[in-house]
Amino acid sequence: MKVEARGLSWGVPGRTILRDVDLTIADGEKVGLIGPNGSGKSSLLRCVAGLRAPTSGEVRYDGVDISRCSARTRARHLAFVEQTFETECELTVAEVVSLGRTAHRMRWSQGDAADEAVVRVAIDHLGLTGMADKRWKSLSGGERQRTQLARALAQRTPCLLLDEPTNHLDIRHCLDLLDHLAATSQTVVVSMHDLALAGTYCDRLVLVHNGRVVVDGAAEHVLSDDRLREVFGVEVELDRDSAGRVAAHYRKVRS
Amino acid sequence: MDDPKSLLDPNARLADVDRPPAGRRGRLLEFTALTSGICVLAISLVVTTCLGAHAGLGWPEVGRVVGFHVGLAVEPLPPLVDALIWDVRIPRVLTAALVGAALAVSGAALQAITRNSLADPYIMGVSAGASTGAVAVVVLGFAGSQLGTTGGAFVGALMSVVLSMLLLRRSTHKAMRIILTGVVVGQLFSALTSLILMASGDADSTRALTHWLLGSMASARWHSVVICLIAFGVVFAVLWSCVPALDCFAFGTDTASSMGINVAATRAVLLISTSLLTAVSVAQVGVIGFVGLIVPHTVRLLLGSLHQVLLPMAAVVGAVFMLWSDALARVVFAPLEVPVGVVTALLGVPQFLLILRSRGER
Repeated sequence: MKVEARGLSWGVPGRTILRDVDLTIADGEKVGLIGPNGSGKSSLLRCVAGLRAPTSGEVRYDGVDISRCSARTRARHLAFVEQTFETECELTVAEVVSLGRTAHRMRWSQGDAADEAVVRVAIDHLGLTGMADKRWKSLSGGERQRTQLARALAQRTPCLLLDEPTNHLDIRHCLDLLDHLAATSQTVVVSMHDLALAGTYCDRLVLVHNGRVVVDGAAEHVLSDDRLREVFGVEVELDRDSAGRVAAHYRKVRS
Repeated sequence: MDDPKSLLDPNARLADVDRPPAGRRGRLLEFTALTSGICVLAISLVVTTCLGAHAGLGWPEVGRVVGFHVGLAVEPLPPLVDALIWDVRIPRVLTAALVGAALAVSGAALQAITRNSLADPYIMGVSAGASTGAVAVVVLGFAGSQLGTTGGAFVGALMSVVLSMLLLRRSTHKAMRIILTGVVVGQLFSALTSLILMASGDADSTRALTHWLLGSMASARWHSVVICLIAFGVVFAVLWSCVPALDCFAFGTDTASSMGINVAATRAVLLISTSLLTAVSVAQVGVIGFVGLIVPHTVRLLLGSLHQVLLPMAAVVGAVFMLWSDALARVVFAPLEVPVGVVTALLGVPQFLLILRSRGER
């Protein structure tokens, strides 16, 4: 599914957060959003997900304006995972994951066998097999994150928008997730802080700063750009091995 | 399908999937709980009907009166006794059950909307708003019209819920915010109610004040049963159609919206329908607190927070809770009667403190 954002601006009263962002993502492409804290990555993802109405500009999915879609249609085309979940509910892991099937069900119906199969596969896929009946409030941060990711995968959408999904994950689950994202047919937009992992797994990186897209291009091009140094205030030295894996060494730039 | 993972691929077809459903242990537990809840409710209805302040009117008399009215060949009791049981006690018991169910499901819905286990029509000041509306209508001279009182209560309830939501904005899930906002809104409307009653200045106003502010089933008659039944039926159907949304709200508006819920519209529908249900209860029996708080909370602890279970179960448990609270209210200090709101508060406050404590303060 092709995603296009044109001239996207958004803000809260008194503060503009996104300024005139253009972003075109090809079908099946994996795009990493990088940028310092408060640069506008989360806001950009929310606007692209149709969860915030931009003050100007528009977002199109295969040419269809997202603001004209119903929430239900939207949820069948894209899944979104937020960064934090401050909630203490009594739902179990399996129940949370099956919420991902909401938009695929008729209003009064329970899930059918296919729904249940999808939910179970999603749970297994995120390594939550033994925890399906555990309650949400008893989960650790990483388990909560994986539960939400499983929920998003159970939505079976052509497009996935993930806001720092590797937060809280141990390295093994982090790599499992990134492997999945790299292999899936879905179009993926993911914000990340780890530049080396972003460089290894994403086809393309978009550097966001002060609500603008500063650099947009192939991973090695963006990571070796001088503007990366300016934006983060660090020197980044990158080694890329023959398998395409990136290792990063950082040094603070003296100001 | 060879690779089960391919089920997660949006391009894979789901139509051919036909696997036996996964373990249904949980569903069995919920089914048992609901069935036994309904049995307890039925028994409670019968037993509390036979309990009363009037000595000598126990189950034999109640049985005869009911038998006579449903057309069995039993000898009727004297008209006064018959009226006492058929026109006063039975509608009172049925109203208590319906109001208990109504307040409990309203509480469950408000807790889902605000993501706060401390939300309920009483804590949030909705009941107080409803009583102000009802009292205003009565004092303005539309008394005697059920529709007028209920309508007034509805307008009052809506005003208070809108005021609460405006004051809370995005911080509904913070425990202290919701309590403080509820106290402020509730106090405002209670003060208005007292003001209106005092200004009207007639002899009955003090008694009416007690009725509206503390709640009492004493004035419930058959029309109360009919009104409560219709309101409960309609609102429960609306809530039932919003079950997926109520579940999705647990993760906040953005995630709920991304899962296909029209958040603004659903929230408006839910706030209006719970206000309506609260208003109908208040118009009939006054303000009764804590039922909407403790009943859903208890059910959630035992059976989880999936609303397809929570809503029907809260309705049943709420009905049972109110039946026994009202029975206590009329039996313990007989022939004096305690306002039922006093009983629910005495039972509810300790649990309220427990919930507050278990949440920690954030």
